[in-house]
Amino acid sequence: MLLAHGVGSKEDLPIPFGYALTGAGVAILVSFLVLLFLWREPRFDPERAGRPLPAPLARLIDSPVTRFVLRAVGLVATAYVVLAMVFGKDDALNPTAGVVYVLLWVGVPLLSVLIGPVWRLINPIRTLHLLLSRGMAVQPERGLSPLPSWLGYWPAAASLLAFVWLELIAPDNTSLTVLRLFFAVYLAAHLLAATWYGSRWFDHCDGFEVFSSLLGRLSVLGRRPSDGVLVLRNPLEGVASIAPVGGLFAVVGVLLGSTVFDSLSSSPSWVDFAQTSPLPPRVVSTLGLLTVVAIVTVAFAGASALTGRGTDQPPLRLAAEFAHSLVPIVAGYFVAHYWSLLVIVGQQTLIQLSDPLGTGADLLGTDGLTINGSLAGRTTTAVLQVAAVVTGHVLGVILAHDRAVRLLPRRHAIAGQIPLLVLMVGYTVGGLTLLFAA
Amino acid sequence: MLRATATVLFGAALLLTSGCSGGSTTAAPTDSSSGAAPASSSASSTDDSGHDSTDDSSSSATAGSADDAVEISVTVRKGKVIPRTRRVKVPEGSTVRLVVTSDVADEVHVHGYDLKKDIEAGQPGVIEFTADQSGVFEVELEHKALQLTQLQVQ
Repeated sequence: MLLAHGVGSKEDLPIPFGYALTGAGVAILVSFLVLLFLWREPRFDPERAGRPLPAPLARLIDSPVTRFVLRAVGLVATAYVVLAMVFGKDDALNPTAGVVYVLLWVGVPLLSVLIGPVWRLINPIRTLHLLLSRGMAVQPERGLSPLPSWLGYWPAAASLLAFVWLELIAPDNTSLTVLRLFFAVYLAAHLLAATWYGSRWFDHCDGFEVFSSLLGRLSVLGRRPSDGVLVLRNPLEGVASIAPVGGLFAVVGVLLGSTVFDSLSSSPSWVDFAQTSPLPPRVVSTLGLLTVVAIVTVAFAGASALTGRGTDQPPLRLAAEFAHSLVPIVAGYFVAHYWSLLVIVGQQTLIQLSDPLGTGADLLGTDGLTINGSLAGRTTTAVLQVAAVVTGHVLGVILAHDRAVRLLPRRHAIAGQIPLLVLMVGYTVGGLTLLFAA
Repeated sequence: MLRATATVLFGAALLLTSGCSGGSTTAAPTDSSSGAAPASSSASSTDDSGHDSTDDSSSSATAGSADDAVEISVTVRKGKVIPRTRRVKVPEGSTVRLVVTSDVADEVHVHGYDLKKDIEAGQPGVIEFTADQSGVFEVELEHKALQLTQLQVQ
């Protein structure tokens, strides 16, 4: 993506061919090793996995005071940014676009990978809903009507699709007018829906919260589903504990597909194609985004359905059962795609936040700092990109394997995995190819 | 069927990407690949960026005027970019001379370096700068939102 008129309007150099080749080789090799030599009995048991945190620490994390402080921090920080969004100068020094496209979109999910689903705790819309419910003396969890289970994760997939369209295609998407409009609509829609369906709406339907919560399962810090105890656990157990709710694979498909489209659409061939087409470029881009998301999603649903042959599960159910295995792949590709943006524009945004209204103020004391690019140097970035993509792939393959030996009849368990494995190798080789060539 | 899908997917990815590597060009110094003759541009070839540039930027940018300069000429006619948008490899530290001619007045913007220059209809506009930051940068005709070329500085 491009943040107009700023340091963000620079893309990474292609990774060296040798890196791409090595990464692809390792990914393919590990895939076959997993298939041939990994356990044949399901190993992951999230209901019992993990070592509980020391009781005082767990009490501190779960205490109402901590929760209150986190909500307050979320609300105050949001109010601060809204101030810049509403009253700031609409120029390249305004921090709002950096906050939205880098800190919120990239920073929060990656922070979630490290320490768990943070957005759930600070989500300002959730807090506003809580305050509203208190004001009306109703329980926040209880809305006017129960949340229909068929909705699943579909609203989250839709709200994420809306956001990636804003990020990648919308005109003037770094201007304050457009950002105000998007977030006014986002706030209104989710606040209304939460009032109607209760705060459970946010768990499955708020795109930002769902994204943070899914990637948060990769953290070593998690909550055991059976008893809610905070535990330190193998991240794979965390991902395996993601409930196979309908539409999960669509969420993952939007996240993966949009990232792929972003790489693809920066290549000169795509630019030339979009610019010379008889249709307006934004229509071409929108169709391109939808096509890539659809291909990624449908290919995954097809592969899981083929993998689940021999069980009596319907195809959509199978896609939901295996969708968790794409979560580390999304995380890996996200790191690879956004690393240098996070490092460079992330720092730039922290500096700009010190002067939210463009008055020359230095409220946070970060004004005099300069951007340190050493974490995003060419070699560092390239190594990290390949490592992230390959690690995501390996974790995804292991997760899919464990789910397959749990779900599939024994005779079919190994051969049955081949479709999903081929698909994941395809994603990874395709991803590395894009890093090398687009 | 799935393998077929995966193969098609991967094939498409390969095709697209091979397409773009095919489209990327290493610009030879003093490569003037379009018909835009920047001979009359001496008045407009000032560097408004504040970047250090070579001294001879005011001499007409004909081939061979500066030994290590990479010259990229792009013409925009009826909303079409000629030559087609491609990626030009530029060695880091070399001088880049962008010559843009458009049939309507607009503004040329080199992203990342954040260099901007207004150009008149039919008059070649020249942006000359030292490519001292590595990365891939887009050069855009700002108001028409047309991407003219990409610079791959490394």
